[in-house]
Amino acid sequence: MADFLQNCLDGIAIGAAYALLALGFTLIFGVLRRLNLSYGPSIMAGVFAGTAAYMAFNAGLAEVAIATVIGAVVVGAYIERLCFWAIRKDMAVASMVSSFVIWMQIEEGVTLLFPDRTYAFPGILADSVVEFGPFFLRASSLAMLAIAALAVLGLLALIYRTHFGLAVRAVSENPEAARVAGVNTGLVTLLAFACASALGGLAGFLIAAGDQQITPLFGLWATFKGLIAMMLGGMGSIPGAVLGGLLLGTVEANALWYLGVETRDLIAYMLLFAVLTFRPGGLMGQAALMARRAAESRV
Amino acid sequence: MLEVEGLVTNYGMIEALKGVDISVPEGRITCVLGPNGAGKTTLLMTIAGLLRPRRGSVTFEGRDITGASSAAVVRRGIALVPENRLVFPDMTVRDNLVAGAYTRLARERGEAMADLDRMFERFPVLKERAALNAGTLSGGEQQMLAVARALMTKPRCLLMDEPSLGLAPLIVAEVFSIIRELNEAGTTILLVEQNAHMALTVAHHFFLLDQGRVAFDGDPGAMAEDEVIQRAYLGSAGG
Ligand SMILES: Nc1ncnc2c1ncn2[C@@H]1O[C@H](COP(=O)(O)OP(=O)(O)OP(=O)(O)O)[C@@H](O)[C@H]1O
Ligand SMILES: [Mg+2]
Repeated sequence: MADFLQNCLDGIAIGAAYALLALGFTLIFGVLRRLNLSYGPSIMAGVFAGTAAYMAFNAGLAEVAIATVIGAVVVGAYIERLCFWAIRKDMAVASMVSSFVIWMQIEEGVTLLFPDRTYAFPGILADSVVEFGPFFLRASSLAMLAIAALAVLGLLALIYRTHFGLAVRAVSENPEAARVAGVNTGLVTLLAFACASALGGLAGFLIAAGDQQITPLFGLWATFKGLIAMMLGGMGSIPGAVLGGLLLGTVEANALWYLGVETRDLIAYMLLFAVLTFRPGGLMGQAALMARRAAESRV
Repeated sequence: MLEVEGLVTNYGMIEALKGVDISVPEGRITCVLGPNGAGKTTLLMTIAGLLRPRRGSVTFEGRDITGASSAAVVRRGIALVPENRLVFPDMTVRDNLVAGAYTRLARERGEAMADLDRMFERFPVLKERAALNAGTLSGGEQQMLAVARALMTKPRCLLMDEPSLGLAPLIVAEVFSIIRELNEAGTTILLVEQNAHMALTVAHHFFLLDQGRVAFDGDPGAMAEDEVIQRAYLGSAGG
């Protein structure tokens, strides 16, 4: 039991990072109704911008974090203009495939600029450990959890308490109706994309600072984890993204402890498969899916 | 007030409007009739900036607004009540209305919120349902919401696309009395309808659109006498 609880604690810490990744995915999917496979690689590019700042200017933690977020936002905006703005809205597959192509482009670009396999990244509170009775957590994990929680609260405030958030929700629900109400949907979409990239950049920074090293494969990893966590919770659902991230983290941590590293990812995929089979809308997306169907049948 | 000249709008290769001329005088209710697929919705969407015309012009209060973005058109004072309502189903009734005032929130938030209270006064059913998601409203209530949302932009000209579609007769009568009331309060209205009998009770001028062209243009008296319209829209069966 103690093992299980300790695993859950570790799982929640990494799950917080998954949740941030899933939030970015869900925000983009919400406003566009299209998948951005290049989301992870844009974060990876941001993390390399952070590393560059660290290596070239010996930048402090805060500057590295800012460089990471800015890098992710710039590359994210590039993806948005190319794969989503320039491609017709009803061509979801074209957007998705082109986002895959851009993924390859970003990975190649980063590999050209950074030819080594791994690069160092500055750590937060490296190596120190916080104890809670019999349980313990790395201080960097605790920092990750706290920053992620703040970011989620900030995002909720932005989406539910501001004019911009109202516009984002309007565009997510019905882009045509949003245009009827005078919302500049193109601008709102670009800004929402930028917010998602900033969240992703933050997640990337926290993860890289925890690992203290990065590789270009980080893009693949981030897309994978974020996508699975989002699908678990329900595409387009903010609480779903948080739940999906935490669930994925805890299930992975327990699978790793009890079954070993080879089985860990297998368990994660089986979990996703089970959820999608029984609740195709995801854990939190199902209710929204049903409500929307009911509403449509009434019109 | 609103002048449409030689308007041509395409969907890919399909020409939905083939040169439409329509004039909407200030303070009046102008009605566009026409069979399914005539291009009525296309006309309103082009005026509202949701579709870009290939040729022709739209002039509002002497200013050329051809091809302007929907946000710019809303800011100029034209609001659309779209076909099939198009409310935001997972947002509360209140948020739907605030979203309607989106273009005003930055500069005149206080005034927009006062309008919100006024809207709740005028549509008490929306006040009762203010905290519910719009998707849970009945069809008639959603239509009221769509009208109220358009009014939140503070339009001088209201475009309405088949507001009576799919509603029970009692609700249709209510919608039309709202149209008349809005017009009496000074709003110019361009109404698209298939219900010619109801339209006759409110409209000052009629256009008949058929296959992307204006096939008739006249006042209610002339329309009631026109043989083609008689047969197609006002047949003795009661339409
Ligand atoms: N999105 C679209 N893509 C392609 N063709 C379209 C599209 N929307 C409408 N059309 C075509 O344009 C023409 C005019 O359509 P429109 O919706 O303007 O007609 P309408 O007069 O509003 O009809 P209704 O009374 O059924 O609402 C029709 O022939 C229709 O098939
Ligand atoms: Mg129509």
